Amino acid sequence: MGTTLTETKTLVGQSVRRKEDPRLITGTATYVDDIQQPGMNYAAVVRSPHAAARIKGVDTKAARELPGVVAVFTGSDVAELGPVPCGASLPGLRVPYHHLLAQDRVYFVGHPVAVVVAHDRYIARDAAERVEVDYETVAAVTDSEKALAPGAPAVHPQWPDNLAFTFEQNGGDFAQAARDADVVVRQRITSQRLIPMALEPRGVVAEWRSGDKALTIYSSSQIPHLMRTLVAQILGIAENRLRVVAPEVGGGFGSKLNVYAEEALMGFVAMKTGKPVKWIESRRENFLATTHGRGHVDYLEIAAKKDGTILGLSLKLIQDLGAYHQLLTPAVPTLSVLMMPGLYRFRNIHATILGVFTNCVPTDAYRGAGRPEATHAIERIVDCLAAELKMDPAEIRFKNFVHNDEFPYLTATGLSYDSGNYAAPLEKALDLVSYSELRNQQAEARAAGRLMGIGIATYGEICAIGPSPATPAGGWESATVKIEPSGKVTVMSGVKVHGQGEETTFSQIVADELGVDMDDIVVLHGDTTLVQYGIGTFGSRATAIGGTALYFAVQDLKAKIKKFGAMMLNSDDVSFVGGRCVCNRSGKSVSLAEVAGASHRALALPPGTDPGLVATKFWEPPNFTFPFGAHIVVTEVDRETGGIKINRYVAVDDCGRIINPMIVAGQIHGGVAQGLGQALFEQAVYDESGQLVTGELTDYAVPKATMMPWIETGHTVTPSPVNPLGVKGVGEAGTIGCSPAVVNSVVDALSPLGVRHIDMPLTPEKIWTLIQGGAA
Amino acid sequence: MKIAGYYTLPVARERAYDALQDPVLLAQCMPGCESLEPLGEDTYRMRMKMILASMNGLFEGKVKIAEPSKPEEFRLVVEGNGKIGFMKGDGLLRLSETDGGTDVHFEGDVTIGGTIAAVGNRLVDTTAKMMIRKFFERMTEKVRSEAATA
Amino acid sequence: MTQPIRVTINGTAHQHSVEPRLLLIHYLRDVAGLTGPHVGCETSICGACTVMVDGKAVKACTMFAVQADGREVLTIEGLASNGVLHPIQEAFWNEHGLQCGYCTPGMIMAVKQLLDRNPNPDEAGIRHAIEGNLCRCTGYQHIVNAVKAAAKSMGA
Repeated sequence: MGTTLTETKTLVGQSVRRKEDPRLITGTATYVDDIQQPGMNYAAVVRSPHAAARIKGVDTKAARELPGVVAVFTGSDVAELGPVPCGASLPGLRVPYHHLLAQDRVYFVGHPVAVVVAHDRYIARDAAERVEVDYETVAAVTDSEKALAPGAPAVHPQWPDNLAFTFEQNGGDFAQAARDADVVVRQRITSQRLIPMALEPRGVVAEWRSGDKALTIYSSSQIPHLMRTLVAQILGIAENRLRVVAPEVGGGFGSKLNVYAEEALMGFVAMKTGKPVKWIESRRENFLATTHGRGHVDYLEIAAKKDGTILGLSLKLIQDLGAYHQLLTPAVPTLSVLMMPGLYRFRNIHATILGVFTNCVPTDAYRGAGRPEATHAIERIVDCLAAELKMDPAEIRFKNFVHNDEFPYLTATGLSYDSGNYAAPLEKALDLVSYSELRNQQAEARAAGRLMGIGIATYGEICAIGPSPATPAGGWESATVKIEPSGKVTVMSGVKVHGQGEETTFSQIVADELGVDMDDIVVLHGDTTLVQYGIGTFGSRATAIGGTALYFAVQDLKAKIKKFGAMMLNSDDVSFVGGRCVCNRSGKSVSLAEVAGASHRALALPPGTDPGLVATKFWEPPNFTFPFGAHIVVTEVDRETGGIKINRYVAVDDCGRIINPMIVAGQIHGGVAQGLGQALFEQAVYDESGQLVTGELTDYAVPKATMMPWIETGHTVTPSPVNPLGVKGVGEAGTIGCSPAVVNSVVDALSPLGVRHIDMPLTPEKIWTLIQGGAA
Repeated sequence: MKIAGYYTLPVARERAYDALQDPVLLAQCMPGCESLEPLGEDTYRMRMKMILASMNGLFEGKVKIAEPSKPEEFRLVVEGNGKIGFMKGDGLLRLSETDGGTDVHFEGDVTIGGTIAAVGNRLVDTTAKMMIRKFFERMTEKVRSEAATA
Repeated sequence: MTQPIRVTINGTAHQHSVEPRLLLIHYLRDVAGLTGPHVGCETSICGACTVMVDGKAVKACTMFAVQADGREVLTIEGLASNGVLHPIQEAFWNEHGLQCGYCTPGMIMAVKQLLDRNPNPDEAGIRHAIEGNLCRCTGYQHIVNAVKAAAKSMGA
């Protein structure tokens, strides 16, 4: 037993390099496609080349006859299984039955029609091409507004109006606000369909052990536990006989926050064939059959006084749902509506969502899920209002921000903003760009005939999703902390880390609390057999909720550690500091390893205390968290080409307390890259017949290194009162702040030409046409 | 996708009309056409090799001549399926007499799907134009040499 | 019909008989059992499969295994020596040049080629050199920092 106290500095707040990196930088991490099983077969999915067609027959003979083919399954084989689940519930929601494989009709290009199983992946693909499907095509509709027009082709014949749901949200009285206003500005603003494009495509390995009636599914997923519950339901097997493992996951961005037909299909194939099976999505399949994001057409009206005071906002949101509801498809636009007040004080909101079926792959969560769309719309319309009133875009925002003394602030949509200092990041960003000087430079540039723009966007977002009543499947998160007999610490978290670095940030939290070395902590996640039930990683929730569950589990453990320490030190006044239990009177201490050993050896136990050192916490958050920030973008538009150059990008974000600044910066950079992709480059384009013409990376422009500006980041720190860590979440902030800042900047650059709004993506062709005086 | 244009064949209208419906001639003139066999009245089974950028594949399908109104006009309906996708075309061909021959005006819709749509859509327009041009060039050659030997 | 090939992978000689149509990336992963090079697109856009063949960075989805016959392939697995990370690997770790890690093995091989050719690239040169390697997580900024740091430590 030692007697000295060591001074420990906290790891929380430091840019500790990541624990997960050694396996990733050496190529030894295990993604789904790295899993090999003895006797494993490979599957290929036959997909519809038509957006809308009746299936008159499927002939699998030629495929089955190919040497190396094990089996071919079609719609009739899985008619009794399913459906692919929709977790969202809205009043009056129309939910088409989503079979694992198409039955008598296909609804989008990429719709799975058959599964071919073979000894290797090449033969599986060869055989897939030999499956003959007799289609009788019918008219398709791919544009959400055209789908609403009378006489449009019906995606689902039973619902000729193509309307899956309507949803209204009202707060205050917008009609009255419009009457009281000096000015009402109207604008149609779109957030185009995007392809999430996680670099690792989806993949599944399924293994059936008939003796145990046990199925294991390895899937590239953000939500292994929810997948287990839902796939067990689809296949009709007991949940405790299904193990879902999400191994290393190569990015998700919402596209893996889902349960797809293929996960259940591979389970079915493994059970039918008795052999393990692997299916790895090709990039083309990923574009055709993994959920897309966004797909908004928003009609906005903003009512304001002459002095810039906003009185109210009205929104008609037309959401392109695609042909089916995936897990959260209809819920995503409801987040947009909740978000409509932004950071502003106005009390009158009228919002209507029209959820529309189209013959396209379903939309669902994509980085930000509803919140980037909302923020883009608000921040664009506020700029339109500023232009109308000839006000500075910064000034109009300062004028309307919720005041610092109003928190917690109840919004017109019923949210309770936890904490905020909304002016602070904007002030800081304006300082960073030397705003007034920049406006002078702009005046000079304009005088010289150059098209220079300064764009400001502020944002608020809903993070730490979320309290259980606000979510379809429970909004809590779980953690178990075990101290092994040697004193080493094992954490099992219900979240699924897939690039966000929680193996590191969670270790920072635990290392500080238990006074142990980072290297003595192992964080396990993503395996339903190893880890207690959890919800998963999405909606910037992993640290704010999962980290908090972990924090509380550690507190429980510390209480038990102190009981053992008190017994071992024969003292009733013991502290736990720096990894040691210390008697406050004698100064004598025992190490955590000694306590751990004693608690497991259990020769003596403190009164009323069980052996071992394990604590599990399921933590229900009392509220969302609400990060905020300001992005400023300086652009110059080339008159000759319509090309846009970003000369400065400044992002000041307030995500509450920061655990690892380097990881937070990485999240902002990556978020901005996806926001910039939407603003300038990316768009999923379906032609009128329903073909996805941006069907490969050759035609879908994901930002490359040369397309990204240098991003200057800054922070203000307003801790969240919702959790003891004070964290808010940062995964989506960059994306949310980016697209309106970029578009505001380019519109500002083109404003001398009378341009008031441009829809994304701001392609050179579109900008050039505007400069030439045409309509974009 | 809409396709429209015209081409002048150096023969009289009646002969041009017959040539454009002659399966042997059509098979010889259509780029990539490997066979064209009668399937019924005015309907043929076609095998055609198509090359589009980096993709090439064999299409099997049907060619149908509809609404014939000799010698002024007829409709041509083409449907093909292959490993790299499918194509459908429906066009009206109008023949009018002109100096030195017959103007063949065509106007129609082409739809493609599957892999060729996802990867090659940008190229379909130019590819279709190129194939039509080649078709008429070959047809011109055929009917001209035929006229010379006659 | 298979064809015999001999390929040296990360210093070890391998001998296999493969189908002529087998892509190098599938050979490395499915036949030789590597897990470093990844498949991200199969159309030579994303660069996740980048390896070095006879010292040149190659997208292993654009090459057939039979074309690698008699050649030396270096992948991310062969970059560290005796358990000591290569300075580029170390720099990616220190500078947080990766998040999900899927692009990383290919990205690092592309960076290796850059630094083999130009030991002291500027930011524009770095961005140009990794233009053929997509990363959906980082926005590339920390990768740029990592390459600068690697160049510095390799020059030192």
